[in-house]
Amino acid sequence: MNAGEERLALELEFDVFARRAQLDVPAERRAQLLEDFTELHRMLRVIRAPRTADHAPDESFDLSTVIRML
Amino acid sequence: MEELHELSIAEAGRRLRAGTLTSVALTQHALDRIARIDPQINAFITATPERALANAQAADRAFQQGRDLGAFQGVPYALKDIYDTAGVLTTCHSKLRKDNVPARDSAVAARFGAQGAVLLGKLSTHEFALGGPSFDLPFPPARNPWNPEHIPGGSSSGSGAAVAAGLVRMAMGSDTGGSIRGPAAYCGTIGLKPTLGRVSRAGVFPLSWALDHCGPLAWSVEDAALAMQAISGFDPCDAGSAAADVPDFCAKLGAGVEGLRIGVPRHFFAQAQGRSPDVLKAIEEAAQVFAKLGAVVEDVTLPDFDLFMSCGRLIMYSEAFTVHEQDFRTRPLDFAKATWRRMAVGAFVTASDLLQAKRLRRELSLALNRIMQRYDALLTVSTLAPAPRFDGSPPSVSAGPTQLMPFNVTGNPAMSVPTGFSAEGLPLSMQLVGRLFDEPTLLGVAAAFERARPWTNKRPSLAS
Repeated sequence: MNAGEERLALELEFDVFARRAQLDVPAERRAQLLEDFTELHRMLRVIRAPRTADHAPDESFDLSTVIRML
Repeated sequence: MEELHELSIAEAGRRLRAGTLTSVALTQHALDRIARIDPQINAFITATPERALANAQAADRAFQQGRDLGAFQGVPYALKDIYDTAGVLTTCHSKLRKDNVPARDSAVAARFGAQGAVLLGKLSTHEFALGGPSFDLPFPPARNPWNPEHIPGGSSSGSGAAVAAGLVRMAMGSDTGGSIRGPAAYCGTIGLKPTLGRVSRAGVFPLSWALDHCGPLAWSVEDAALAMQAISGFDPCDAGSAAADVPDFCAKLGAGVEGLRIGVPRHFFAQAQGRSPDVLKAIEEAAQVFAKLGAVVEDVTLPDFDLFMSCGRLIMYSEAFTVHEQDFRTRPLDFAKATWRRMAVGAFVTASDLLQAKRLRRELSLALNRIMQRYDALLTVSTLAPAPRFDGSPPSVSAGPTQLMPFNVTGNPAMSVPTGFSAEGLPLSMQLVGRLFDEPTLLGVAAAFERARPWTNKRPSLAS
């Protein structure tokens, strides 16, 4: 894809995601939010890396935190 | 004439116990300063003079009866307006909660209350600790006391402004991506983000459950250490609370840094966009100060800075949107524009994205803390430049001019410490980072610098 096609694809994705999230994006705020969506894409590229099933997330459900609040 | 607001918390405590000072006098002095100075900086959303004087009278009675409840007995303090306070307006600086009066105290407010501390009021914040500075809210944004045309940083903006202006020696903030250390850096105060889990967040309005920390902004290192002593400890009501022993936070304040190893991750900031020569020069001078005091100071390489920032921001925006999802869908225009913009981006993060970020978080925390086994502290920047002017444009989600998020991601204790002033007279700062649950060493390193380069004798001109 050339730069123009990439931009169109990004805008299409933005609109689909916004609709899916039931976000009502006022027209005058669309450009700024689209800029942030582009930055979000960049961040997602940064964090993606090959990981195995051993790589657990930073938190898992810990029953002791439930028991201690009873 | 001696100015009571210049008394350290420890010195005020000594005089209160000796009977040469009353809490009522100390409190009335603070209330008078708030009435005189705060209209210029908007640090307070709600001042609580009647409650404060009642707290002070109770503290004085307790002293007269020989009851000693702790270092904060009779000492004024203030809370960021996201900490619940029973019977006191708690707005989160938002139209959505402008009439909210909690029935119960947050855990931190309860701990201060049990120790006889005097609540002066509730402090400005960026809306819900996220947006801002904003002019489209029911309350004005706080301003920097060193120059009210400049921002005080956020989100604990009122806490930084109030401490720097000498309205209070210590105010509580919260820090999800730098919201204690940023305002501390811009306002020239101490700002300590403790180890994740050290201080209870129960009753504090969440921004991100994974990254939120509560901690003090204070005028001196010792003031911050005493605040930590008052508020630390396990709390079953915070699912993220750590069952760790509470140390003596003042134990190493006089220990010095001789023989300690301090790592400097220059690759974080040496080529960073937006860096100020003043800030970088101050960091190099701080490294020299520590070396002269006997520390071993050397370069250290950490994982790539952008990994920390992307990981932290993805988690923060996703969780912030989740916290506010219902209001965001039903009354989105009641949020300030800046808050709306920052929150909206969280709606685009998928479950898979979030879990990848959380997997990365564990990797980064392990990597950093393996490196920290060789160092007692890290020295890096807090903010890349002094406080900018208000310019009215809402902040984007890009990294911005701070380097604070990495230690929210890893959970390590980190503090902003003043290093001097820019040519414009605005505060400069550094960030010191400690080992997990080793705040005493971190505070000791900061205290050694404070003695070598004292800063607490200079106040903003409007505060005199």
